[in-house]
Amino acid sequence: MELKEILEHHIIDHVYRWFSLLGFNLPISKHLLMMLITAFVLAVVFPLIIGSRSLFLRPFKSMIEIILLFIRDEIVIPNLGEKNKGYTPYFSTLFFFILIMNLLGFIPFASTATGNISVTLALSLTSFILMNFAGIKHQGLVKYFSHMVPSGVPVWLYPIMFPIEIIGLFTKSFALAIRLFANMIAGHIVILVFISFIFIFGSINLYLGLFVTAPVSVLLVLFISFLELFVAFLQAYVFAFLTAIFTGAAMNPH
Amino acid sequence: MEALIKPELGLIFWTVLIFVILVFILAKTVWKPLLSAVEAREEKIKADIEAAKKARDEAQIVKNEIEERLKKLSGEISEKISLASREAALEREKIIEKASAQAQLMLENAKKEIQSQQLEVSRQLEKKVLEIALLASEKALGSVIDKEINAQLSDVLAKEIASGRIKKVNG
Repeated sequence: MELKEILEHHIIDHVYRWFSLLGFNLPISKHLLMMLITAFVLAVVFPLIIGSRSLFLRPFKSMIEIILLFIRDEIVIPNLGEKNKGYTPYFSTLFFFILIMNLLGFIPFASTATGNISVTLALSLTSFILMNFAGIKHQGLVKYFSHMVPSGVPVWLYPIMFPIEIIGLFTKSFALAIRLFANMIAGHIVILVFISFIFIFGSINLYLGLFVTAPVSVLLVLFISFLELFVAFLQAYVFAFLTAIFTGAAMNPH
Repeated sequence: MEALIKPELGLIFWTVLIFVILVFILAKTVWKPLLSAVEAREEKIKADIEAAKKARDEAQIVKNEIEERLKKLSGEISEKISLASREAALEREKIIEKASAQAQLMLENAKKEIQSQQLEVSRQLEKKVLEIALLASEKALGSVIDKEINAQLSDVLAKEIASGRIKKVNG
């Protein structure tokens, strides 16, 4: 077995079957399943936790509440302003959706849906739509596009700056997608490589692989796993935070 | 490996669909109740803080009032005490003055009494002396002078004694 096959097996989506809807070919795949599990957790388990009066579930409710307050007070209000805190539900959904998809990757036999470029592109597409929607809604269509170039730029630069800003809109969103995708996939690849080391060294010398490489690799994998746990939270935060910054910038031009 | 970076349109569609539906569902079922609960709590905390601040201010006002009243009261008390002590001193002086005046009066009366008694004693003494003198002179003259002349003579003598000439006569 080559490393390429192993990587493809563990990281790339498995399509179980295709189904056709209005001429579109829609896959029923593992990552879709993960996304549906995430949706189930968010749409069914979360309301149960929130609505429950059970003493056992209260810490979970408090955790959700703390994160929600953090999103409201540290992400939405500083970037969008106090009067736009109505966007909090969107950003908290975005954060928890990404977070739970990231965390699902830790469960054996499950996989990380955010390690799929299609998923992250779709999420950045929603962010792109939100940015432009919020900008047009708060400034008006004409003002939104006329304020796209920062004030203070000489008039002769406008023909250059305007296309750059338009391209910037797309690159910002695209960078969001690549950032999340790369971060989620990198940890997995490193873990796979460390585990493959055991077999590579094992094929050279069985004892070398078993007694030297294996303990070191397992320790390193453990370390990378903790790092990934941290990255799972961090990237969910970064995605929501950057979306908030871009949306805020589109709403209130300087 | 190109499968890793090849976007799958179908999955993009699924993701957007699931995410958008989630945003609308969660906004109603999870974030709204949580946020409203949190906001109600924040409101309540703010109101409580406000109420506590107000109560403290009121207590401060009452305390200031009481302190002011206490100060005024103690001032009044000390004023009254000083007034009373002043009055007492005045009264004492008056009493002493009165007493000394009375004592003076009594002394004077006593002096007068003594003087009058002295006068009486001296008058009686004079009378006695006169009688003795008369007796002596009667004896000396014998019964030459009759009673009428004797009376006249004694009258003259009494007048002379009263005017203080007796001492010359005697002396």
